Amino acid sequence: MTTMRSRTGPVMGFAVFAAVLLSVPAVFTRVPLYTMSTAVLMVLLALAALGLVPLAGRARQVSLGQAAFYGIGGYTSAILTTRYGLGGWWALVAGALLSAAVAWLLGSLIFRAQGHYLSLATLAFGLALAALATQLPMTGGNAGITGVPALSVLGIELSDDLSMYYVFAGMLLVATVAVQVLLRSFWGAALTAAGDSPVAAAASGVDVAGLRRTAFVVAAVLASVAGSGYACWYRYVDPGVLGLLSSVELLVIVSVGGRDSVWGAPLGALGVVTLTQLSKEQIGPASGASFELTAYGVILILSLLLLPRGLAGLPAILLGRWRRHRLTTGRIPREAR
Amino acid sequence: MTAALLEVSDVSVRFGGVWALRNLSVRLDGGGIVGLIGANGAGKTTLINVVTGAVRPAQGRVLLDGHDLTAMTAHRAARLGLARTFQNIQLFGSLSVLDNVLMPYRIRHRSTLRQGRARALALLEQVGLADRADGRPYELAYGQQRRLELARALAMAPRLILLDEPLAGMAGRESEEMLTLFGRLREQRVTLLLVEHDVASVLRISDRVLVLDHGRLLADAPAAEVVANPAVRTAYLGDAMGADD
Repeated sequence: MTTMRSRTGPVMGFAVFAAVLLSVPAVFTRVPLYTMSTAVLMVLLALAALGLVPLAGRARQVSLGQAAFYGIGGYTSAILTTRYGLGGWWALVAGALLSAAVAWLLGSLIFRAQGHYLSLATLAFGLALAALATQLPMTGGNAGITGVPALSVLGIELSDDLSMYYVFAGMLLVATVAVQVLLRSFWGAALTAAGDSPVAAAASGVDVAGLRRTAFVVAAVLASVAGSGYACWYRYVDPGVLGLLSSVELLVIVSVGGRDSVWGAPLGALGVVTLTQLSKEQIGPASGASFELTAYGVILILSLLLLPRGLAGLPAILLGRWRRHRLTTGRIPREAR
Repeated sequence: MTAALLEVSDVSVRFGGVWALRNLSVRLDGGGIVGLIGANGAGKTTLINVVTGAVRPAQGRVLLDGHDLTAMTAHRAARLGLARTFQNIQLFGSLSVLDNVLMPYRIRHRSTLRQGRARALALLEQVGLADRADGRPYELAYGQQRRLELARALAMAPRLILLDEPLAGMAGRESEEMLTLFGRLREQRVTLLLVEHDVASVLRISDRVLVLDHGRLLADAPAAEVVANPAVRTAYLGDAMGADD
């Protein structure tokens, strides 16, 4: 709703974000830790985690099934392009629509009840979907689906990491602007109110269940688009993308980055991918899923203890400290003498 | 007989093996302040929760101006002109003081931001918080937070406001200011159902007093009659009021 807040701050923020996204290839091709494929993975994860900002950050509803929608997007793209010859972008749109429909139905059932049902229901939903993907012939069982065609733009195939990066970085920028506009709208204020106090929000005329469901649908669509992008980039999709580990990874990303802010998703993706890369360099790639889960747990605990508002909240903390420092060491203003 | 503003008919609520309300019937005809008193666990907050749709009764009906609220969700009931405050203050801590009032106002009135903002500021002025509009609720003193809750309730242009212990934790002057506000709302023809443990204040300001005891209606009468009621004195008022006689 934002009654008095400045509009220049966010515009500046997005200009800086666009500049950072544009400069990533120059940096990532020079710094040893990163590659362009790391950059593509980072923007896809940021896009998938972005929807958790309104859902977990504002509505305070924790979904443990965000990767299920990432998987629905990935599998829909893989099936429609390899079996039915549909274009990659149409398959991406179909995946997003399917995810929206599934999230709407699931949300309609879950949000009627009060309490932490979303976490349990989405956990069960993700696990069931992963089990289903291993059994169905259409999804290729444990082997998954190979040979997913790359996306094309204006007839040019996005076959290399750099072109894929630019397209999905652009989509991340657009999605971030869209989510920010939503959060600053009347819808965002009502969603925040529903997160702060559901009973008071309902008593103020807010359709709490309906808002939560809408936030859940938004999160599902963004995850699905990222999942479709992943399938077309990696040319392959398997049940691993649907698993609990992937959902935990997305939650850790948005918690490390900051659940309250749209900058939380890209910052968290940068932080988590960097730490994962570092751990792989130090310990080796054979560390396995159990190591990753342990690492995510440690990262999550540390970020909650040291940076409860995530990396995105760091500037506010530093600014506050600087102001307090100025109060104790600065010159006394003339009018206060 | 004209339709009541609020009609609670034969309502029962059970939590496990405990009856919080038992065959309760209450009728409010609109206008004035109705006090609702009773010991802890008498069912006062449960009654508010049933009326506002937060709790579904096991049996009975609740009508607001002829609209059946019994199976209605809380947000739909609120949009019919039913507002409430809470025993434990429930504000939107992430929003500004102004947005706490503006958001419900815009929902109820479907107003533009400009119109809503002017009206929300007027409501904050009414409760003495206009100069704190840009702040956050947690920066307000306790009594101011209670007044902000009231302003937010008024933003729903309510016909009936259910006030759940609005004087709890307040000092003498703050309580008096709040009671003055309630008096002004009575003049504006807003009906108030006042749940409060400060019995002296309730008896002083209420036009009529309901007394609940173990989920049942023990008395429904003007304050003077309630004070004189032997059953009420035995069950709730005890010797405290007797000493004032």
